[in-house]
Amino acid sequence: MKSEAERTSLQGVPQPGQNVPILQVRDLKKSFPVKRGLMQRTRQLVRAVDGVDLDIAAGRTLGLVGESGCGKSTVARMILRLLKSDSGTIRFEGRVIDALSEKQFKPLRRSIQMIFQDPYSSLNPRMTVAQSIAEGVRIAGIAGRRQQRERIEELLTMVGMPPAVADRYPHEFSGGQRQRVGIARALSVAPRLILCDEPISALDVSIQAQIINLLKDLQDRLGLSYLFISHDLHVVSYICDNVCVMYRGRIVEAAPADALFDDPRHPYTHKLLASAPSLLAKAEQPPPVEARRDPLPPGACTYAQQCPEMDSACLDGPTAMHQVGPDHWVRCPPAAGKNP
Amino acid sequence: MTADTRNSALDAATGLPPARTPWEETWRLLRKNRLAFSGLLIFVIFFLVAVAGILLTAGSRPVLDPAQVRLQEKLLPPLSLPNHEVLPPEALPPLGRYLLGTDDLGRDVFARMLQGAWVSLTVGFVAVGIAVIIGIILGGLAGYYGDQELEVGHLLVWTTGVIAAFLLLTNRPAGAAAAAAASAVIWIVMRRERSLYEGPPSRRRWFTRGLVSVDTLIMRAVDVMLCFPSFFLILTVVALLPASLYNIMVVIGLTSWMGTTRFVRAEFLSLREQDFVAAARALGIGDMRIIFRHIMPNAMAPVLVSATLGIATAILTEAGLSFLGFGVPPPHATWGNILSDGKQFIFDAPWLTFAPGIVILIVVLAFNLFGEGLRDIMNPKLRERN
Repeated sequence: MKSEAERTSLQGVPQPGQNVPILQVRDLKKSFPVKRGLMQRTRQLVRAVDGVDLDIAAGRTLGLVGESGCGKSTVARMILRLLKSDSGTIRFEGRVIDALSEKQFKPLRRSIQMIFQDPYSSLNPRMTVAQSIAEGVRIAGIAGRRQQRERIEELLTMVGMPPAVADRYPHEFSGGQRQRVGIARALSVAPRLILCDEPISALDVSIQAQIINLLKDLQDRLGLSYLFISHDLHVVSYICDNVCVMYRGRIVEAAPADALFDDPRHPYTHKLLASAPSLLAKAEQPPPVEARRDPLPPGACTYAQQCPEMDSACLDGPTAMHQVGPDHWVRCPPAAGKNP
Repeated sequence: MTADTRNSALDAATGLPPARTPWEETWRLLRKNRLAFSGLLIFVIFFLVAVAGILLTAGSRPVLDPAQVRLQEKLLPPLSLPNHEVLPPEALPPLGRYLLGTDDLGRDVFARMLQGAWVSLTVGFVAVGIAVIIGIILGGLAGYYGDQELEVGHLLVWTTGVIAAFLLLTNRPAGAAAAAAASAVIWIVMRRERSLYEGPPSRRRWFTRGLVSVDTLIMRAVDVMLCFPSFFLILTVVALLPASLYNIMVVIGLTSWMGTTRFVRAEFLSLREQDFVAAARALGIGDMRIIFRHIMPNAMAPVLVSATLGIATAILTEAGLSFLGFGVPPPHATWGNILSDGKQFIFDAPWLTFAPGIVILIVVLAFNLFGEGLRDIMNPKLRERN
């Protein structure tokens, strides 16, 4: 499907002759204060996102995988500026967007859209499908009533819904149908990048496949780029070109999808792959490692407490990503050293 | 092909149940809830009676004159016939009978009740209207912008602004202009300061340092207002103000907005975090449109319920004030002062007490039943029980 040369250019520094990545995230950080007590003093900081780097090439899909609470959604919300980042830079089509004021960012808003996890809370229950999509159509600058209506019906057809459902309310639809409406709303402003925040994890398995195929189909037709956030590795392997594995606010392994599944390096990636339900590989599950509770020195590898391969080097901390293959990076010195 | 059959053909094609808007659904459930529906019915009747009352009793030559004194006919029981020999023809009741009897001055109680119905209706609706508007604005502010800190500078701007308004109202334009200018200067300095320096809050200059969050300010104001025994607060204010229907409506409204504020704030807090609001923000929709188009319609259900219950309370409060003699000044009749006048004759002419008493009971009960029913209907968790 894709040549090796094409794939190698997806990650890292853009090469001459290549387009600038549509989205480039560097050292993105966000921590949330934990407030306790009568005076609501800040007792500690939770580092939700702790130095994340991402690159998405135009027209490609980057998977962001990790357990719940590891900061995947926070990254997406910061890219969309629903949350303010603490530090780091976000470049969209080469332009730094996190330093822009809300006014300067407004014209760019249309270029980045999001598909949400919960199809039940992502549509306004008091608005018909047409009204929900019309909000975006209006923002996209289509003024006339008739033109708006035509565009809404076109969008609904595009996501595989009959245009006749336009005047229905969200409570009349199933989860999959609502998710399609959510996709139509995201498409209404003609975005170039769509952040998919676990778009299928709230759906039935049979519906999941339909939505995934719809997303792939839309990518081919409209040239969209996706950031695909998920905890389901099978889905990610199917839809993504590149995958980043995230653990406790950090990217621990980044690789082209095939390389990650054929040759996972980081112990956490191993664990994720092994924990994915499978009919065949039942016996190969590694024994669970008892979590060590002793406090870690600051800067130590965040995974060290559960890592079966922990050694003293891990306590000094994996400060950098090590390259272990073409575009295959891992933040684990022992794993990187094993097979140079 | 009619629209209906086309719709059902379409429903078959899409495999969906027939289209139903949220309002149609509410109406359907309301009709199933018998108590709430009878409450609504009584409310509609009350509304029509009140409108008929103002049409029949107002003007210089009303059809039913509530102020017509007939000293020969005083304290007649209900349904008694007027004495044609002693009364001049223009003083005869137009219905041929005193439907609810006459009072100690021979005035037709039925006409007075009709006149009072309009007072109760307007007091109920206007007072609750004022309360709901204040509640939505303050609750919306606290819910949507609650995180934002009010800074020392904001406070200075507002204080000088209020001083300017005060000076202007007391006819000192020079002082007012000076205060307004000071207010504007502080505001400009604050803006500059904020655009120059973005750092941790603790390192800001004193006048841009956070003092209290908007949410804290508004909700503590609510707590303070709830501390007053509101009936006595109203009594005090009404004693100081000239007695009139409008003063009473405004005073009741200004002392009963706290419940709505809390409801609206709670709804805004939960709706603000919903994905559809995040999606609206991602589309680039402005704050005002998000508040009024996306959040407000979803927050209206509890407001509507508390407003319905509030109308009952306001009617009761007005009746209480009138009963104590602080209400609408006589000779205008209200249910409260008919009741109050009647209490001296409770053994000789019980209808003077019972007519307004029972009507107040029925109307207040109807509003309460309707409000409670509405709450059950609009809360999906309680819906299953009925």
